[in-house]
Amino acid sequence: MKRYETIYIVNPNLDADSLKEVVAKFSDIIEKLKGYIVKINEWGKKKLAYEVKRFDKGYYILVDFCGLPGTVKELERNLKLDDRILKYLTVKIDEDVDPGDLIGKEDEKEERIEESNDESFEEE
Amino acid sequence: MPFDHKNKRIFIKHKTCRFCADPSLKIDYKESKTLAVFTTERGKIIPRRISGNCARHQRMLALAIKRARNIALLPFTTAKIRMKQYREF
Repeated sequence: MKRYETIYIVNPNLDADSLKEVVAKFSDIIEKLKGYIVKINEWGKKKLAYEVKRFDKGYYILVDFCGLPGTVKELERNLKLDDRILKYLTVKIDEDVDPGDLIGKEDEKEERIEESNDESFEEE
Repeated sequence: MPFDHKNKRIFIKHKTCRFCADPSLKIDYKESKTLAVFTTERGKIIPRRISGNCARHQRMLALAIKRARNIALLPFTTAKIRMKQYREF
């Protein structure tokens, strides 16, 4: 299984409910195709570097997930069809990943950061 | 004097690769602010001979900038104002 990262830009004029619906829709697509979502990060409304479909702002959403090449193909096909999506980009992060391991590792990393923070406080 | 050597020297500042010198610096296409340092005002990628990056990091940087452009974090060009003027006619 491979690890991917997809960023998609949603129409900034949508209300909170339809925004949630969009996120849920694409999360469902990933999960239906045997993918595992590691995390969803909403960056919020950001100014675009150039106009996309006559919009100068966009709502950025980052999805980190594990899946097969077919998962990405289907996800991108759906992103392309949806009018509310302005732009999308998928990047492969890791070639061979076991999704079960990944969730454990993420927790460890966070713990380590917390630990190191505590140490620095003590030194001060 | 046909050539001003004093002015020429001002542009040569960084001789070492910043990413090799500090391994904690990471090249990520999502961090547009870091990438913007390595682009000109017009949005072009600054060449290696000026930025001083090593070949490996320059390649990684170029890829990251191109990805950032694709998702509208960085501009392809800053001729945006001109395009708007055309539209008004």
